[in-house]
Amino acid sequence: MTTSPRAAALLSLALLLTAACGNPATITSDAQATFVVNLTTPHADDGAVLITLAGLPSTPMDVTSIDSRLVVYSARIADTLRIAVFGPIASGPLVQVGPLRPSAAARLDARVEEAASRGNELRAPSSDYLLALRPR
Amino acid sequence: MPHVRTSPTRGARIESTMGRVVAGCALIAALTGPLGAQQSTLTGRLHHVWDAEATSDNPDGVAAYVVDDAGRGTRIVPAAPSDRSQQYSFDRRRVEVQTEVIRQGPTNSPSVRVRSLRVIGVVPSPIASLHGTTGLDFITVLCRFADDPTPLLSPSQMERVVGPTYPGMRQYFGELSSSPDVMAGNQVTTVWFDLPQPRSYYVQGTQTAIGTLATDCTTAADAEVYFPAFAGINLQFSSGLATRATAPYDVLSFGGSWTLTLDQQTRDWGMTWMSVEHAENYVVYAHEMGHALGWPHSSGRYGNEYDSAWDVMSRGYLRYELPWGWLTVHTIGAYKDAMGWIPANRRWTPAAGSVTSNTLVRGALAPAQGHLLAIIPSGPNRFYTAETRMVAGHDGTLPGPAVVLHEVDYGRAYVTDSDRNGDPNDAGAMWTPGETFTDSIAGLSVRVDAETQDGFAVTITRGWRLDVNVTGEGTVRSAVAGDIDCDAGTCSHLFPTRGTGVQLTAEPLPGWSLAEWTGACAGRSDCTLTMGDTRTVRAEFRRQLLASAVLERLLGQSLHFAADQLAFIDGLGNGNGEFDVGDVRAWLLDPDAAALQGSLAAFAAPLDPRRIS
Repeated sequence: MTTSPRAAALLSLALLLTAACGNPATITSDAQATFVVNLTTPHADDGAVLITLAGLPSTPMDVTSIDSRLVVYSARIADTLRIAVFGPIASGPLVQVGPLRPSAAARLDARVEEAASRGNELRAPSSDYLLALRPR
Repeated sequence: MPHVRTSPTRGARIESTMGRVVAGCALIAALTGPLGAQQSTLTGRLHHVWDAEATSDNPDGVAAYVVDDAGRGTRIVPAAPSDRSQQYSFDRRRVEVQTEVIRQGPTNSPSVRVRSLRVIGVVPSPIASLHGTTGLDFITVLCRFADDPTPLLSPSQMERVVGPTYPGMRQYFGELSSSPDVMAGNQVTTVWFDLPQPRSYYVQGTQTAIGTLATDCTTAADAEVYFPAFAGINLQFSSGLATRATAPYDVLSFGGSWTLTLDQQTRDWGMTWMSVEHAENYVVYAHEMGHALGWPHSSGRYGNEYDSAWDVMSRGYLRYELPWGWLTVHTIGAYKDAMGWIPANRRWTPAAGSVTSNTLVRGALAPAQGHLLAIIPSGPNRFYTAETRMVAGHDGTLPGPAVVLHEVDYGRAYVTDSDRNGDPNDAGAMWTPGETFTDSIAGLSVRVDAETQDGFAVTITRGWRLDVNVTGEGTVRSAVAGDIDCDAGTCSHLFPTRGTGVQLTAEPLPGWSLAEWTGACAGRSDCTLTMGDTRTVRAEFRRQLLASAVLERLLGQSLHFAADQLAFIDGLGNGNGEFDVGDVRAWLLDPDAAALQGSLAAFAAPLDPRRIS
C-alpha cells in the first residue's frame, strides 16, 4: 500500500480525531444518566428513612426502588425532592433517581432528614448517616 | 291677624269658673262615692303632665289625667308601673278607663287606679292636633293669684322670653325645627289676669291643681285671647307652684297638655304651668314647652331623668350666657321627627336585611345635604335613632362631637351608653369612628366609619347575621338554595326576619370529612338553627386518616391535619410527641396500627401523581 503525502496527512488527522473522540471521560461527562443514591448507616436495623435532595434542575425526574423489599414514595416541591423509604434498610444502594446530568447531580444537597428503627423508634440523623450519588 | 284681645271681662269668668269647680266636684263624687270602694268608668282625653315627684315606679315624674271636655281632670295611676310606657303612647287620645278609687287628691284632683284602658274613636297621632296648627304658636297668659300683688314682671319682658330674638323661644324652636314659621306667632297677653282664688286654693305644698289652674287662667283671659289660634298655652303665674317633695325642695314648673273648651271649641292644647321663679328662665321655658309639644324626658337608663346633656328634655342647664343666664341645647332627633321636623328625604330608615351606608350630618344649623336621622326598628313600639351632634347654634355646649344613639320605647328615648357606668355623657355614649354598636337580639348594628366636615359616615346593618366559618376542604350549604354556600373562610348572611329557621348541611370534598360542628351547632349531623340572635357556626373539615394522606403529610404535601389527628398518628407510632417517619412506618407497615386504622386499602392505591413533577 502506498500513500501520498496528502493522504498521509489526512490519515494522521483522522487518527488524531479518532483518538480524541474515543476518550469516554471527555465525551460523556455531562450526559443525562440515572444515579444511584447510596446510603451509609451506622445501624443494621433501620426501618425507614426520609431523605431530601435539594437543588434539583427543573427537568422532570423519577425515583425508583432498587430493592424489591423496600417501599419508596417521593414528592417534589419546587427544587427539593423528598423521598421516604420503608423496609429492611441497610448500608448500600437505596433508590435510583434520574435522568440527571452529572453536573447537576454534583450540585445536589443530599441529606437524611429522619430515620427510624424497624421498631418505629425515631433516630436522630447524625453525621454517621451519609448519602452519595453515583452514576449507575 | 292679632289673636290677643284687650279688656278682659274678669268677673263673669270667675263665676263661670266657680261653677265649673262645683260641677267637677259633683261629678267626681258621683264617680267615686266612698273612698277606696268604688269602681267607675271615665271617658275623656288622656293627658300627661310632668308634674309628679319622680319615684322608682315613676322615674319621669309624669302624671296621667283623663280630662273631660270642660277641663275637669282625674288623675289615673296605672295598675302596674310597667303599664306607664304603653299608657303614654295614648297621650292626647280619647280613652275610656275602668277605674277604682285609691285616694282623694288635693283641690278637686282625685286619683284613681286603672283597671283597664282603651282608646275610643279614631286614633290620631299623639300630637296630631299640634301638627294641624299653623306654626305651633303659643300664647303666654299671665295670671295672678287672687292674693298676690301685681307682679313686677311686665308683658314686654315675657315677650322677650318667648320672642324671636336669641335666645327667645321663637328663635330657639325655629332653630330646632329649621323653620321660620314655627312659633312665629308667639304672643303674650298685654295684662296680668286675676285668678278667682288665692294661691293656697290651687297649690298645697307639693301638690298643684293643674286642671283647675288651666281652667281658671284661660277663662280669665278668654275675653282677650282667641285660643283656637294657638297650638299651645303658657300659663305664667304670679307665684311659685308646688315645691319638690325632696331636696332641694325647689319650686317647680310643669309641662304637658290639657283639654279645654274655649271660644266654642273643645280640643287639647299643649300647655305649661310656669312658676314666677322661672318666668325668665330660658331653660325651663324651653323644657316645659317641649313637654307641651308632646316630648317626654330623655335620659340614660340610670333612674335619673335629668342626666343627659344631649337634650333640653333632660339636664337642660348646659351653658351660661350673659345677659340671659342659663341656656340649653337642642332636643334629640327622635323628638324632632315626631314633630315632622325631619324631612322624609333626610330620614334614613334602613330596610330589613340590608347593609347601607350614609352620612349623618349634624342636626343643629344643619347643612343643606345629608341625612339628619336614622331610625332603626328594634321591636314592637321600639326603635333606635342615630344622629350626629356637633357644636353649632344652640348646640353650643355638648359632651363632644359624636354619633349619639337613643332607644325609643313607646316614644320615650334613652341614651345608648355602651359602658353602662351611670354617665350618659361620656365616651361610652359618644360613638366615634371605628366603633360599632350592636343589638344582636334586635338584629342591628351601627358602625361609625369616619368623621366628615359636618357629620359622620355611618354603616347600618339590619338583620340577624349568621356567620359560617369553614376550615378544611368542604362546603356548608343551607337548605334554601342560594342562601348560604360557603366553602372557605367566613361567610355571612343576613336574615331579615327574626325567628327564621335555617338548616345547614356540611358537604366535605373526597378524602375529607366533617369533624364536628361548633359554635351554634354541635355534632356531625345537619344543623337546624332559629335566627334570634347573631349566630356563628364553625364547620371543621378534616383530612380523612388514609395512609396516602399520612404519607403526603410526611412528604410535605398535605398540611391540613389537626393537632389531635397528628397526635393520634403519633400514638399509633412511636409516641414521642412528634409526627415523624417512624410514625408513618407504623401507619404503613405495623399490623397492629393497621388494625387500628381499619384499612390499608388506601395505602395500596397509587399515590398522588404530584409526587414527581
